Amino acid sequence: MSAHTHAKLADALRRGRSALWIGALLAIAIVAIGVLGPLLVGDPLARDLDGGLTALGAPRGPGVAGLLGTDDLGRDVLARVIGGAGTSLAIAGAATAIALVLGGIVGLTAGHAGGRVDRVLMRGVDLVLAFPALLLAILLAALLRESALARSSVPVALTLGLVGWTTTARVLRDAARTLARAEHVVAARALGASPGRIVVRHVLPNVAGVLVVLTALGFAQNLLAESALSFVGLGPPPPAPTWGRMLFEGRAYYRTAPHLIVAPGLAILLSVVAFHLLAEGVRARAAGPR
Amino acid sequence: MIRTVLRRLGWTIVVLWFVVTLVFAMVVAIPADPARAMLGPRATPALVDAARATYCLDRGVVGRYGCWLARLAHGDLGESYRSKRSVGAIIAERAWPTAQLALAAIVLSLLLGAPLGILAAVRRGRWPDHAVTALALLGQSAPPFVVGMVLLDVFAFAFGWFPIGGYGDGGWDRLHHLVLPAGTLAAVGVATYARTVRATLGEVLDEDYIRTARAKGVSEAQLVGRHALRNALGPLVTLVGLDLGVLLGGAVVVEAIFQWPGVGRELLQAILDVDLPVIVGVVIVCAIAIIVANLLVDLVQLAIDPRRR
Repeated sequence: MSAHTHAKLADALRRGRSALWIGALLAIAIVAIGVLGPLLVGDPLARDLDGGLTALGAPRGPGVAGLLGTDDLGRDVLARVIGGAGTSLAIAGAATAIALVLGGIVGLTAGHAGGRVDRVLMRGVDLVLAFPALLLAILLAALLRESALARSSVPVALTLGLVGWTTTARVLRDAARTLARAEHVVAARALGASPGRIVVRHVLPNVAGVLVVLTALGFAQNLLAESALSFVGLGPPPPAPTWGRMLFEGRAYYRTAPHLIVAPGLAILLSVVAFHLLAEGVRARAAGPR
Repeated sequence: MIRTVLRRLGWTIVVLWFVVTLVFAMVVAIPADPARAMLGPRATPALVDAARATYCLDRGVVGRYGCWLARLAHGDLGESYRSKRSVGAIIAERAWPTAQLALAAIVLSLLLGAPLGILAAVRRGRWPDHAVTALALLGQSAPPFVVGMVLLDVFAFAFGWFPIGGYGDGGWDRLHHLVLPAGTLAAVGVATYARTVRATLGEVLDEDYIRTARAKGVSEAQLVGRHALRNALGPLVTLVGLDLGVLLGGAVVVEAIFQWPGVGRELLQAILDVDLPVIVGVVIVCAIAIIVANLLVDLVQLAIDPRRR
């Protein structure tokens, strides 16, 4: 091995590790803010009618009223960004969970069963993949908005979950397909283990790394998608502050009060970067030196 | 070759059927009365019944499904609740602006993304690689409207180089108006393509035939340009086809920021007005456009690359 390859290898390893650590730390911090947020700041819905707005009724800038200023209704932006973290993360988390369960069932079944079941299920996945995801989400959210669930965040989480499971299904199917021929699985089958037991005891533990990557990537994707849906007016209903909804409400003021866009925009950007880094780091580590 | 093409065509028809059926199932599943929504709260029962008969709402699910397929086959997407115009006509006049925007974004993301990816792959592990990787991470993580508003603020308001929005008067003026929206839409594409090219080109550069060529004294530029790049750009073409969905989804947001009079802005307005026929029509037409475009991409690849036949 030449010195050059050696240096490259060390570099790749180092990079994978720092991405993993930075991503993991940021992700933990963000989730902690999401969980503890409401305890750290005031009520995100409270309107400061005396000091929250300028004499002309415009939002106040950062530093003048609260650390990040106030929005068009005189509400504290810092409280809303931190208070909104919980809702945004919960929606993205629920959507990711739905996608993981759906994709897991389809992917593991297809990969484990093989043959005709595999072909039919994967053709089905191809069909869903052919439909543009965001447009499907817009249609689904627009229709769910008309239903009885409309007054909650359920339609958004459900929509993103129902749209985003295909990647999980494909990746897990490939992993299960490889594992189905692995020696320990063949041995377990020969000893008479049931298919369910094989999947739970012998396949799932071996796809844990892949699952972490899929979860982190899906989570990042869902955070972005939630903000896109909110931006077109199909996000969670008011007054719940989510980062996407804050952007949606702030866009009319972005010239006069850019902090209304910058604060939630940075929150989304930082979270998505964190989960991308986490996924990248885990993947680099799992792939090992190449 | 002919069998492959026929199989591909058959699959396209299955996909089209699936999309149309899925949309129908979703529309049927919601508990709303389209006839009442269309005519408003003050419509007489006779009018509502007439509208029900026209749109087959008085029949069972199977009857409605047949009716839906028949209307689509005739290109009839219904009429807008709000403007009472035919949805087909509305989409037809909005399609060209969106097509221009999407094309410009594809060209821009290829022109920026591919060279960045090549640079990163050739200088692997050194600072250009790190810079491109960081840039790609940022491009993939930033919500499109945040990118759009930053571009708008910097290049339209602060520097005044580009107009703040609108469609322009054709020719150079159109192009001038196109730069910022297309640039915003291209941000994700640039990031994705740079990453893909870096990965595929990096892999190809590690292969034996490249080492052999290098050992025979082929210059680095020739090595990349003539030997490696050709094999590394294949996945990129597939990716462009697959990304059309992301692109049209992003167009909804970008058109809203820059007041671009395309299909996306029509969709946004329809969402605000709860104008279901327009929402359904736009989604179906966009899905069909993407499916057909993907078919074309595959056929072109079949023609170019004998390994796929």
